[in-house]
Amino acid sequence: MSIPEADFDDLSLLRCFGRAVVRDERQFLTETQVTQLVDRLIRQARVGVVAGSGRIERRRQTTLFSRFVDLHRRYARRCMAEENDAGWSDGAPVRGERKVAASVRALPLEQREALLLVVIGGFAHREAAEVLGISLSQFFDRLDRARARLSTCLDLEINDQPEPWDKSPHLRIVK
Amino acid sequence: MKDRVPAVETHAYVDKCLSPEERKSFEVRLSHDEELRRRVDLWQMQNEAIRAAFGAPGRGSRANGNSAPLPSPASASLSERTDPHLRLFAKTPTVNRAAQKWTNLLRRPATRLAVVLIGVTLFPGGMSSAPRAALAETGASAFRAFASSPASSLDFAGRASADLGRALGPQFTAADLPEWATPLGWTLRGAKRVPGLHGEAILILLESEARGPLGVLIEPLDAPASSAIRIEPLGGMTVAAFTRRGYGFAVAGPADGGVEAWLAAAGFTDDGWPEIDPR
Repeated sequence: MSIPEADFDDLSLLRCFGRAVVRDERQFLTETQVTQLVDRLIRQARVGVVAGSGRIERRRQTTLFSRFVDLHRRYARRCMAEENDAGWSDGAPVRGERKVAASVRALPLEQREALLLVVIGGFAHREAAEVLGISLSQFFDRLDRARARLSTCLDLEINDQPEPWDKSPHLRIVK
Repeated sequence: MKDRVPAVETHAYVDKCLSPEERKSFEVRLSHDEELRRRVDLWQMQNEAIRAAFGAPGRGSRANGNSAPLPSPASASLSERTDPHLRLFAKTPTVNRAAQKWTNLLRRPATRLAVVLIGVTLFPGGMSSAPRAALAETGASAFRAFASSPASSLDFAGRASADLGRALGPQFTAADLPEWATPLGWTLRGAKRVPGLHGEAILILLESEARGPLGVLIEPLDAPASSAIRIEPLGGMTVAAFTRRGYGFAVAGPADGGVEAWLAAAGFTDDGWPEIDPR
């Protein structure tokens, strides 16, 4: 089955979302592996979705994201089933990875999907719930937990007491 | 479950899913609820940090999850405010072939360098107002979230500016922080790592008996080395944004003249770097 050509720009959001969502704390993937995996999932997700005109309309975009999410979940389940293969690890931090990216990577998959669909995919809440195939209420639960967890990971909570100067850790250098 | 409705509304506000009327009424509540304001600021900072971390374009306002194509020209407004590079390379479904050719051309490093050089030649004043506005908003968000309350958690708490300089390390060494950060009349409360425009920034918290709290956000930026100081009112505060020596600065404080007073005391002029006080 031939896949119609799509504009690069039409898929850039999905590619960006994909690159963020496939990174998981329990799995070590190199940059190349991430790119290959995302490209493969996008290729599979596009089958039958992209119109001949090459322009993905909003509805099609929702379907495309939804298929991508399904395919990635299937991939993640398979990796977990074959735990010793496919590079599933103990979640050691990736060298040089930024704190924000690492904190997102540490979120459970369903929370990560919900958060990234909104923040990176640019979907409204109702659309994102549709992409994930869940109710709006379930979606808000996931989004709420994701944001709360991320605040903790990023140390952005505001109610902690300040530490004394001499006991405080040194500022970490960001590369 | 008691917080369910406000939480949903807060998510909707942060993710720009409210209609203009709903947005306006939420903002009225926001102005009366300090805790809610902080939560909104934190989530907005999270969103911007995530987009910056994964190189995603920003998003603008859309009402109630309608089926408008994304990103639309209107929805590019946030990326315009937050990231000049994202704005330049923002991908829209409606881009035509000619525009695409220009975009591809501008992606080449040599072309980008040429554009920057032409820009510096034609506009010696430095960065345009859009990045400075984004910097100002980042500084204002950080100040609202962390500087206005004494209960905020700090990465560095204390009043010794020399210790702060040592603790910050090489990322901020060239900024000569401790020497000018605490001019006469201002004391150091501490500092906190916060999400900046593109990466990690440091928010230095100062206070003055006469002027109250002040936040100075500093972020190493790939920006013009120097730009004029732009002072503007922002959400009931005054914020000054500018760049010096490749660092982006956003000085935020209550609208009582404190920002202007600190700039003058520290020695920041439109094109100058503070004289370092050996004290």
